[in-house]
Amino acid sequence: MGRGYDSLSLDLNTSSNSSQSQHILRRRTSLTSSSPRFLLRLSFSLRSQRHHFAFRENPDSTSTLGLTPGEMDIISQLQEQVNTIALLAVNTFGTLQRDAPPVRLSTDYPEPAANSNPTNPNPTNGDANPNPNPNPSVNPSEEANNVAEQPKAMSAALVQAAKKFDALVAALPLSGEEAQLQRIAELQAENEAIGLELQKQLEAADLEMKQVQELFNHATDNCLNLKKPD
Amino acid sequence: MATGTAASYPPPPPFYRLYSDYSTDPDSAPPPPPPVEGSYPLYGATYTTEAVLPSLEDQGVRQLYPKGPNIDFKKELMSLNRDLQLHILELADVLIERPSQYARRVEDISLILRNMHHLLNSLRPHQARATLIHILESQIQRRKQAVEDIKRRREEAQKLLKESIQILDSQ
Repeated sequence: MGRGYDSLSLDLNTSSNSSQSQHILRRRTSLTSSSPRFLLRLSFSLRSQRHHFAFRENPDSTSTLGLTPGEMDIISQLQEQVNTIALLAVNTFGTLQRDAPPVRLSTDYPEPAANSNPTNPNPTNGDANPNPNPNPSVNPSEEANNVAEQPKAMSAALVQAAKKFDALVAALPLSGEEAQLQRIAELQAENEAIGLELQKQLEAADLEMKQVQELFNHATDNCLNLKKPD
Repeated sequence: MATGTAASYPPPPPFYRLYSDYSTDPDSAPPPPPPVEGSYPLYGATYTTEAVLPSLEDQGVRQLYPKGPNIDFKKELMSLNRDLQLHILELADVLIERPSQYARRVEDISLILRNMHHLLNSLRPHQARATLIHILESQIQRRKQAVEDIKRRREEAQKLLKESIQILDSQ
């Protein structure tokens, strides 16, 4: 992927980068009108999805009421995981596009000034990439390393997120709707029965308490009457 | 002085007069209106009191998983996950070879994501019923405990009374 394409890297995670990414947006989108804004649209479609969740408890916040994944119910965890996967995909494509070094388009043009990427995946380039520039400065070789490592790390993270999603789905405690309704009916009946018994017991206990209080009053009255004044 | 030009607040609703004797006789005032049922208009839009998740077709989104009375959620979610990964790979390939055709792939990915979220949302009623079952069970547990407690206390009280009778009789 060459620098001919504008890249819109939206690093949605860090808010400190927001001003930087805004700057990147403004700078890059002022270039060619046919710049692929798909990342922007993808992130907007992701955000708009959040507002369709009529049953999520807090559809507008990404922090789900400030709960950590360990405290959330499994469906919210699953929803968070879906959003995470989408976020990773957006970041992956954005970062790759932003950091991809320029490629050589044809033998007529001079080789690009920056260090060429030894793992360039672009096959439409008619000219095969020559060996990396023997540039002794640290920056280009470091860049080459980063550019080679990034896709691996990011794709590993993406696959891991997908696996976690599968694990969560497998952990779903699903049962049929009729079974649930039946169980609810049973529990309601049992609740009623035990409620009645509780009420009976309460009434009997109240009655006994009144009787005991009466007795106590009588006893104390008698004690007072029998007590001779000194 | 500027009240003529400034916008004034709307007057209070006129039925405040009905509550003039509320402190002396609460029954002289009309009771509160019953809750609204069905659909009601609010700020120009119509809302309904029935809580039902609108289906995907209602939102204009194609439904990828098969329709039917019983959906195997786990299977559908896993297959949607797999589809999602494949589409991401496809997008990467398209970006390398035919970059101008990204739009359709991105729409496919967002379609899959929306389907996944819709499936998860349709699991919420099930979760609500499970929560209800849990609540009922714990309530039954608490009530049984309370019944046991009351029985025990009553027996203790009876025992004490018998003992005291014995003591009194022996004296």
